[in-house]
Amino acid sequence: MRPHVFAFKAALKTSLPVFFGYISIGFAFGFLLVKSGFHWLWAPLMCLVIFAGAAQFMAIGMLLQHKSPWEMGLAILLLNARHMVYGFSLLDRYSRFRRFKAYLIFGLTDETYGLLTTIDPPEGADPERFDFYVTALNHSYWTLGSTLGALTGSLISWNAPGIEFSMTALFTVLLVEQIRALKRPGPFLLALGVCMVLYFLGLQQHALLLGIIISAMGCFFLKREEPA
Amino acid sequence: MSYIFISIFAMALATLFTRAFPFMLFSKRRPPKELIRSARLIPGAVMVVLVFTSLPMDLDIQSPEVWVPWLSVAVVAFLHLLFKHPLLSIFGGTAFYMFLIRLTAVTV
Repeated sequence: MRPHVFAFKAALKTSLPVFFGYISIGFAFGFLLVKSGFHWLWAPLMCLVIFAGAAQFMAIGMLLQHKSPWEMGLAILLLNARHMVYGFSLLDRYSRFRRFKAYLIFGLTDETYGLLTTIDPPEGADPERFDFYVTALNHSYWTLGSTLGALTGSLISWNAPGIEFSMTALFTVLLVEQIRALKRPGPFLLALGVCMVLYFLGLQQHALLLGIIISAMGCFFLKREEPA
Repeated sequence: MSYIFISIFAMALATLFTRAFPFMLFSKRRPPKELIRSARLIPGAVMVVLVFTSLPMDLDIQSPEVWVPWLSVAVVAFLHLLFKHPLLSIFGGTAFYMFLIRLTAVTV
């Protein structure tokens, strides 16, 4: 077997769990985007150039609220701040790469990071090529899923009131995962308090942006205490 | 049209920046531990804000059932703690929410 084919097959097998997740969540994203009144073509475009799950869901809401591009960029910057952590832990691994390095950094989603840091490239496969195939396959699943969802949404006239709750549900799932991973209440209570104060002050309109900024800054002042 | 284009471009740029930042900053030197430690706490706080702000709060204008979104969030969290299956939790919770808003809409 040629080495390229070998690396591709190994990447295909490795990325299979992400296939199911990306196809279905991508489908939900595309469907929601179209049901929010946007053309189905925006779905594949957003998936190709942004390629970030939670951020794209949040983008639908912000586009509907006609937030300024500046505000959207900043909100996504803070939402995706977690990706900086990923980068820090991959500095070493990617430092040896040349050809696909830029694309690997672009495609560093939560799931790609999870796969690449959990599963080692198989013996005999070029690590850079393997990492590239895993990232590109994930990217294609995500784009495919959202395109299918968007087309389905524009073909069927059934309007599903309440479907937008799937965004809140996704964030809730991620929140539960974060609570489980961090094992300390500080950041969560801090953010909850910040949100409540913002709503109490009547700043609902800016709660997303202000909430993320204030909570993120607050995290730097939380007591240093590593989870056991 | 161009508004969506520019917005998508801004979000793509922002996402790329977060992913490329560590590589740009620490292409030569090692990152300080303190920074990594704090950055690890941010996603958790961000998720709270996202859940809170994405809740359909304007619901109380049409109907008195303000508890519906909160209960649905609790159902999602419960399902996720029980089965640890993201898709099940998301679809289950959303179906529950859609069912509840139909049920409570009758009273409006």
